[in-house]
Amino acid sequence: MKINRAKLIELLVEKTGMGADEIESQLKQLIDRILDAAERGKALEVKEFGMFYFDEHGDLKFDPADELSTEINFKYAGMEPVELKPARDQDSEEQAKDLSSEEVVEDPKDEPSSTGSDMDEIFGFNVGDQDLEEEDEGPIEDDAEGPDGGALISPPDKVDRDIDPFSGLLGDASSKMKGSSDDDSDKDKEDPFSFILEDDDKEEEKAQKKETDEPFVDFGEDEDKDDSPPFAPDEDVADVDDRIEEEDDPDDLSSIFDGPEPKTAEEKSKKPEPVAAGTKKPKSDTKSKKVKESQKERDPIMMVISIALIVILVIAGFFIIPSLFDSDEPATDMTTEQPAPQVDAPQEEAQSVLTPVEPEADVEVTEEEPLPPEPEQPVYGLMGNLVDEANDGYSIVLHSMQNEVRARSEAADLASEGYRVLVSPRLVQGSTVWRVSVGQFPTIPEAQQAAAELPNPYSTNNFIQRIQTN
Amino acid sequence: MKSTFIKAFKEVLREQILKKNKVEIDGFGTFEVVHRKQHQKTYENGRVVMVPPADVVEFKSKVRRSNEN
Repeated sequence: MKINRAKLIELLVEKTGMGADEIESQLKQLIDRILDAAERGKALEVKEFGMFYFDEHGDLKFDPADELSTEINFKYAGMEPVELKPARDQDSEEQAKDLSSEEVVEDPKDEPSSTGSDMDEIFGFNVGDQDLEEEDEGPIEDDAEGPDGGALISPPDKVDRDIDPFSGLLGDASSKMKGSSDDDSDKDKEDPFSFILEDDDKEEEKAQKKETDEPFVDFGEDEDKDDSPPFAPDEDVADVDDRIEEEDDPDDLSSIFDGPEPKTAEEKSKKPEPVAAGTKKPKSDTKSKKVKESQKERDPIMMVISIALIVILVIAGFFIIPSLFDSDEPATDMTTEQPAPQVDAPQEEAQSVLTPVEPEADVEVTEEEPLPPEPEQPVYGLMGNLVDEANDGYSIVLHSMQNEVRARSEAADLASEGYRVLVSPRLVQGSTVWRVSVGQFPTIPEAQQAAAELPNPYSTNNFIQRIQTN
Repeated sequence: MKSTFIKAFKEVLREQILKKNKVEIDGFGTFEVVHRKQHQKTYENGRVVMVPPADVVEFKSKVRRSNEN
């Protein structure tokens, strides 16, 4: 049905009891005033209704006030946007492959697990063929060839170790630059949860590594075959990463995360050790011993961390699973009772400059005049008995149920606590729900204020509805 | 302008809009409720959000700023 001007005036006459002429002139005044203010580039707000203004194209616009929007949208009150997919940086990574790889690679760094795999890839790439060969030989033939082969590498090694912390940073950055996004995509395909399952396997591998040096050869060969590094081997970076691996706990952690990733990742996870052995090796016998020691040290740490992980998972499981089963109907009901969009009162005050003069007090006084059943009880309020005259106001919905009987019993409970309780059927998306609400308030802000003062869990789990909405 | 009038104006509009009536004030504009279906919103960064359905007030007006300055 369309309400045109004539009909509107008719309705207004009905509402106010004023004469049609008066209403007409009032309406004209209002419109003139809105347009006038808008013309002057200002927004005129009609309190609890909305703001009128000209937008940048010179069109008259209207922004409904929160009160109005809330009320209009009562059917879907409390429904919030649901995130289906979190922001991903993978896509942008691939797009920005060429230039800004630095910036893009930084994003995954925020997450600890991806940091780990990042590091891993760095290893994978930066361990050059040359390095690997030397490393491979090292453990098998023991120290005989070590010093010779390492002669090439050892000088940079030393330098890097001396300026350890900074080289770490530099190495990181440069490796980031070099860490290609090709590799990133690999990582992303891998199942992030696989580590839970493969955790044990991984540990075994580690153990093997510790016991026998032979695996190193295999790994080295694997790397030679698999990793045809797109970039020239970078000794510095390898070294630096090496250091990071040994010293930083987070990296130990990360290696745990990485290791268990399916095949390619496994290989990668193995790489760090060969690298460590190889790069150190050249130094001297003592160096190589140190490496072995560090490996041995690392293993228990990883054991402990992985055990801790499992324990945490189990504990989390204990907490989460019962709560899933425990949640009975009231709880599910509550989910539909998200707090309605909040209206901030201060804003109104700030904007009241533009608001048409509207002494609400006067109006309320007139409404409070017909004090109906109990003279002591105010028309509006949270406690006491229902007042019919107050049904033009708002109420705080505490329960919303599809079962009328349950709604009634909840209402009875609340009534016995002294609240004004309303039970109202509402048609929401084709099915009737019974809303149990308390209090009668003249305005939404007042209702919200009262709602905030309700006992838990109602203080946060409620929304405001207009009593006579439909 | 009387406050009672403004209050009544707001109430009448609110009630009519809620009844899904289109309120047309010639020389000013029209108010009506428009239903927005639930939809997926995809952000540039790959974030996907399910936006719940909503009823919103829409105001359309042919009034344009007369003195463009």
